[in-house]
Amino acid sequence: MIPFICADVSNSNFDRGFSSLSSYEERIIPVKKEVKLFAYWLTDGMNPIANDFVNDYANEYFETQKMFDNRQNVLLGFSNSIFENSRSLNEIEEEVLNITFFKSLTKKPTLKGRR
Amino acid sequence: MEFGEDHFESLLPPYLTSDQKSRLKDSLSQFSIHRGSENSNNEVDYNNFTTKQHSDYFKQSDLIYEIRYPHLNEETVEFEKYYTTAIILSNTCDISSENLHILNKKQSILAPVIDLNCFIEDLSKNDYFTRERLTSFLNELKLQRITNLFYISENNGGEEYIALLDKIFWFPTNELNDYIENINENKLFSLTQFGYYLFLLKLSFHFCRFPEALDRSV
Repeated sequence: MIPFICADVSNSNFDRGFSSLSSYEERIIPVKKEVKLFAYWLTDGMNPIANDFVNDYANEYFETQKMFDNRQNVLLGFSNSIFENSRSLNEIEEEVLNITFFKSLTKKPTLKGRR
Repeated sequence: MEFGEDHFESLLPPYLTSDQKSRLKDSLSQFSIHRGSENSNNEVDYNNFTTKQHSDYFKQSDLIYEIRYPHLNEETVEFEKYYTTAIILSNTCDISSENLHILNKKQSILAPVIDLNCFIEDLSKNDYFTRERLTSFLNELKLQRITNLFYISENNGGEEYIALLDKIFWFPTNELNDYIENINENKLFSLTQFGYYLFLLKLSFHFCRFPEALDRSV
């Protein structure tokens, strides 16, 4: 049986969209305003007691998401700072790159198990 | 946000010692235009960038030999089957054989990788590339300033490659994990902490640019 849980999370902190984040294949997806939060997971099971589930599990999940968001922001900020002088290839560079790339491709693999 | 002191450590995993964090920061700061540790030759230190350390699974940023690649023949407008060396873009956990997805299974995303020497050879044949232009281009490449190319050095003085981030493709994860049995034959090398973080930063820049310079307001 695949457990499927629908939780109404009344804490206004959760009234925001956030997408999947998981190493355990758990998902929390806001579906619509009245329901605020839908939770399901596919590889694990639990016996949710409503209050415990909302207060503990969802809070923990939200904190994880917040940490993830912060790390993503920092990552994007640094990468933009580091590479701000970047440029694209010009037409000639790109043409040569495409030639080299095509020459690098092989038709017949030599390693075992290739299909 | 400047490449600086404030938030950098929040990016790093807690199992790194402060010495390791400091070395990682120094390595990455070479690529900042505000860098202070630039050496007199203006060369980037790629020491400790790759590793051949054995592992029992494929990781994000591993380079794999002979991955099937759908090449678009622009004349016939048909995809043709070829094989290329490729770097894994997918998250390690998404493609792990231990991650038993029932639904929403993740396939592996990869980018082709070519030998830099072959590219230099072809560049040299083109009249446009004077010695100065070629030197300047390679310098930009090693500073990771070409947005869609990720330069990979097998540590200082080793083999050099470039990953083509605008020619990415997907590959069945089940098939990729079949190669784990002979992982040492199938994998060129992995990136170290330094290489891996630079790869993540480059991917972030390539796909997520702030500001976008485009007004999206209605």
